[in-house]
Amino acid sequence: MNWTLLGIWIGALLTLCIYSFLYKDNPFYKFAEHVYVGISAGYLLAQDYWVQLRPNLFLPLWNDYAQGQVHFGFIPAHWYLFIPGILGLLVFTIFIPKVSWMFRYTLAFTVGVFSGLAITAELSARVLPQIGGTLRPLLELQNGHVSPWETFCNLFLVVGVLATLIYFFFSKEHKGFIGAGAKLGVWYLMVAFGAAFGYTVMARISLLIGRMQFLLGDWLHLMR
Amino acid sequence: MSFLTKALTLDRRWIFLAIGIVVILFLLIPITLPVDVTPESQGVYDTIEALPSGSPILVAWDFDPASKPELEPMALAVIKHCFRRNLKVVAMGLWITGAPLIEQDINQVKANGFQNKKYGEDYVNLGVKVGGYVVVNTMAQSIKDAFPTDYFQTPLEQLPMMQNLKTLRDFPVVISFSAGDPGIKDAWVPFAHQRYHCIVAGGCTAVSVSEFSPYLQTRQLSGLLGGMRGAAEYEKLVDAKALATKGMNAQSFAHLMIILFIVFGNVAFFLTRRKRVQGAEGPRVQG
Amino acid sequence: MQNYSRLRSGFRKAQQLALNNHHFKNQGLRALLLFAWLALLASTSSAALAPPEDIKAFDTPNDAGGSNTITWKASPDDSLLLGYSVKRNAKPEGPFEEAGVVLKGQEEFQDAGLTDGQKYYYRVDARVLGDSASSAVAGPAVPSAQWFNLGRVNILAFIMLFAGVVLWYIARAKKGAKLFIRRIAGLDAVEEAVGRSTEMGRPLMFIPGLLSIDDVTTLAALTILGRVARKAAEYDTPVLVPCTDPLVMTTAQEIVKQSYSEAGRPDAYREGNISYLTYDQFGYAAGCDGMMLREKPGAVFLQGYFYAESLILAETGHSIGAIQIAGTTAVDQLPFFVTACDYTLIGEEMYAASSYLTREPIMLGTLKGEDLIKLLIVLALTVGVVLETFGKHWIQALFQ
Repeated sequence: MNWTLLGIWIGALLTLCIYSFLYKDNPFYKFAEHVYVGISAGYLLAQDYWVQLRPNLFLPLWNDYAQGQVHFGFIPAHWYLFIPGILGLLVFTIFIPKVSWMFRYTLAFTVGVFSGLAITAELSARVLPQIGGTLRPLLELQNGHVSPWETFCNLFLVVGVLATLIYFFFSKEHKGFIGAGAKLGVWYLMVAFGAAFGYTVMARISLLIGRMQFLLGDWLHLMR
Repeated sequence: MSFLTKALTLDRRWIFLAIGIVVILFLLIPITLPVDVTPESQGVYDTIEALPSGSPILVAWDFDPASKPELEPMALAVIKHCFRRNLKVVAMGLWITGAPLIEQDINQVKANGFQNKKYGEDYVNLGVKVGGYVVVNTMAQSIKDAFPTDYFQTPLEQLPMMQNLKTLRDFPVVISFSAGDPGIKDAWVPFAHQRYHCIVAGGCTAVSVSEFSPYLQTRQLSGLLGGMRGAAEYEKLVDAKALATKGMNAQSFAHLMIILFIVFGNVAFFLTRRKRVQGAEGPRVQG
Repeated sequence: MQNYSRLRSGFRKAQQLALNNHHFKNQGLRALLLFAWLALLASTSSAALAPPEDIKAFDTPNDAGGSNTITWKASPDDSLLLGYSVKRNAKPEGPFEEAGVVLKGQEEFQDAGLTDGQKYYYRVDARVLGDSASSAVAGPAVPSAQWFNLGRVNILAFIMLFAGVVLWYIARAKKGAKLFIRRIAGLDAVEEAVGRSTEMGRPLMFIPGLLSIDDVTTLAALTILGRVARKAAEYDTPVLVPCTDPLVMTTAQEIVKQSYSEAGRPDAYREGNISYLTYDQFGYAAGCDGMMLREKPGAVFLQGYFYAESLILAETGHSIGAIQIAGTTAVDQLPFFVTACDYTLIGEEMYAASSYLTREPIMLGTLKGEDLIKLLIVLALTVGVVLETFGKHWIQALFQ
């Protein structure tokens, strides 16, 4: 039995079932949709065990990888892993109204750790360097002369950042100077969204091309 | 109904069909449009090219099969470049559903001219670890803590290549193929680059290019491959034209068609709006 | 004493002469000429590689210990080198073992994995193929850990300023101070959307995004859900909430139930309307699309953090003629919502909307604190740009 070929045929047929939605909703699309939802739920559940729980919790509890041995003693090798294990179990208490308050401990731990790691990282990677990068001279010199293009780019960047910040200022109504700044900010936002949208159209066409390469190449062998 | 009004109320399925036909047609027609290399893609190439032979390099597959058409071609081209430069590749991933892609891609490159590359000596597959920047942070302290074994459950001490690679800091360069979070934005740049001073470069889906561009400007990324176009550019740089280069023909003509639709649609919209303002019956854009 | 520069220069001349000489079309003759020239140069010159200079070795500052930093001035022959080899030993007389290799052009190396408190001596060798030149020995460098990373003082200062401002505003909000927030345009559309669905006899659909309950965007989305659910309860309109995270589903059930109770319609609450689909991104999108096509909601709320499935959801909602109100902090998804939806809460407007709706002191104080920080950033940018124009990098240095 050529399992690869079977897999290609199943993939191709499911692809066509999903694409039939472009015409209109139909039983083939519904079938493919339900198959995908069901399989993805089951697949992720299995992956959660094999990729997350087993190597991160169950195995290290009793295995001592540093020594390369399995340690089936009364006290597990990495006994402290019981603490995150119990915190993980407490998440399920959210389904039992009487004890659902216990879930808050897990949430507090998760939010605290992730915030602590992420705050300094976000500031050092995304906030401070970007503010520093916006500090451009209003007149850009090249070889001792003012470079018109670089000067224009600097002004465009600085004005755009300021206008966008003004748009997201919520403590004042958008009237007068602030209103004008906010309107300019909206223009900048829309141009940025247009650029992002253009990139996304490119991404979506690329995904279509990828699927077509599969159908035409791997399935029908029409592509060289 | 006038022609313009009909055009504005055109059933969207005709547009789907037109795009589909254009893509299929230009995938089958064997023409090759030229691909120009952008400075951003050149930056990735130069980053890898600057490494001495035998240097370790960390390559992260931060994507799943949904982003395969854009990111897998660039992953294949980059791995080919790394093998050609005799770099020691340590492969890993942060996306749970991307785990099988790592071994599949490396084997595909090996089968095309690099059969001499030995597992454990020339490359290692650490597999996938979920946790995003927590994994990167852990790797900075000890790779073994994050990955006690490789993808094949072999302890890292038994892999010759990993003897001298203890932490993230032992890698001068990190390449990430990032489909979203976790990836370049929240794991590799803030931690591997900002905190642990690794040079970070990589590729992303076209959707994320405008979001990651500020990192190029501040040199937090030394290079970026953007979508299928970036993959095609890298294929040109390593002289290994494959799926991405072939796909760019269809991409270019599909874009042309979309531009024509947008221009035509806007012209029709503004012309019919003028008529509506003058009191004529306007179109109702079909939902 | 001549160095490698002259040898290389001579080789280049030989190469140029041979390859451009049209009289020597034969490749073999060209190679012979090159070899002869090279041999001539080698026999008449003696080359000595120049070592790197001014080598310094010291404990790496602002680290957790176990690391020394070695700096040097590049060799005058740097352009000819393969790179530099940094060697270390516990004694100045050697023998030295290799600590690491760097590329030519580099003048710094960090030697990690050392023992704190132990003395290390270093030497840097300039390397070419088959030859090297050693610098003087530097040291001792003694690695140690520092309690405080002075390189991140600016981050600490920023966090303290931000936290101080936010806490101050929260305290003011708790004391009942009137803190003004301008009205957000998209909020007016909420009532319109609920009313439209009721007139059409259709349910509402609320999609709370892809992230879990620990994400602040999801919390803001659920705040808006509470407001939407309350309006829907008043009009007796069902609210469908498909979820991708079981924790979000449970929280959403509680919020909707409470909203129905507050509206005086606890009997109308249906727990089954708030359901879990799948954790998979596109499986969730497929499920939501199917639900939209079957249930045909009159209004669709897309509030929360989205990824690539955003356009799929927004397009399907648009195709069924539903009024769509979106809100997300995902910058790369905003273009699709702006294009396909009737109203969009852009980025921070989501938080402003939830603060505006609830007037809860913590949310209100946080938003006002952020506004003050934004104002300070605008001031810093304005002053900084003017200073940069005059070549003063004082403000720039604060953000390095």
